[in-house]
Amino acid sequence: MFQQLLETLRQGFYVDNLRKASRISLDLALKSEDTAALFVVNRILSSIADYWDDRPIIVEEAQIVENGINPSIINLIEALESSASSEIVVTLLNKVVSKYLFFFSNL
Amino acid sequence: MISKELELDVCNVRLNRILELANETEALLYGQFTLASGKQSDHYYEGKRLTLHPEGSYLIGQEMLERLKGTGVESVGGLVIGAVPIVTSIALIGYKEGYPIPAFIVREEAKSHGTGKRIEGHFVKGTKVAIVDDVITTGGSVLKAVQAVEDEGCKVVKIIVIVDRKEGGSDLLIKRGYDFSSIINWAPSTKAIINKDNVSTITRDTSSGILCR
Repeated sequence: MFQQLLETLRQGFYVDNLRKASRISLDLALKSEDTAALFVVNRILSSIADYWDDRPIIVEEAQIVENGINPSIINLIEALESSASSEIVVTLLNKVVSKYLFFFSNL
Repeated sequence: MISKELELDVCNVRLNRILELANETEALLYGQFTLASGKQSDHYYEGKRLTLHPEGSYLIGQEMLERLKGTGVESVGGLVIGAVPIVTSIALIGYKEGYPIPAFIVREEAKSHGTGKRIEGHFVKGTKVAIVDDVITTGGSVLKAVQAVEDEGCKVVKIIVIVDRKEGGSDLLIKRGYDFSSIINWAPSTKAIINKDNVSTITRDTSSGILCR
């Protein structure tokens, strides 16, 4: 399922795909031992989808957000898949949350 | 007695005013947009700018109500958020005009708390219903609402949207046998226009005295 999540994330940030990735990360959170990190990813993806849903998203805006947040999420998921140490996971998770807060701290 | 020609004119005036308002309220946006499906588009319809505008809400409610008369619908509903102001307007105007149609809304997913319902409002299983929405592109949102009510044994006798982006959704619904109509057609790289199919339908219907269907 980690591979499925990575493939979905690599397809980019748009509402339907964000919701799909959000669902997969929640499933993973429930099944794996990396519950907290995956739950945070689930909430972040879901929050962006909710914010973008039913409103005009300019292409450049979508790309800036995607380029700003998605690589850090992919790095985190790859680390989780390869059973990286807790220290590495926490560092990558902090990066994900920092990037998210940079764009969406007012949500 | 109002002549059929005058009624037809009234209908055309309303349709033209809806299109005018869609532009005035900046519901019709031009630019480069990323859609929910991931597709990019050179235009975007921000429905709530029209359906939450006082005159827009009134005219949309009137137009949709006219199209629902005689269809036998027992209630009208649609998917949140787009359909919420539309069904509210239809219910309100229907009541005012002596043709009350109860309304309901369909959630994207059933609530995980409270009543846990996916369909809220005045909805009865196994009845004839209409589904409305502010815009149709590929048909995904409309089909979610259709599926939800059909799962409850209802028959969808009419589907009406404000804007048809002509990207396959309406063709899909028609192919599946649904009675579909739109108020505005807005195909990619074109200007938005009143759906002339509906206007010509109105003309044909003058023989039966039923207008604005």
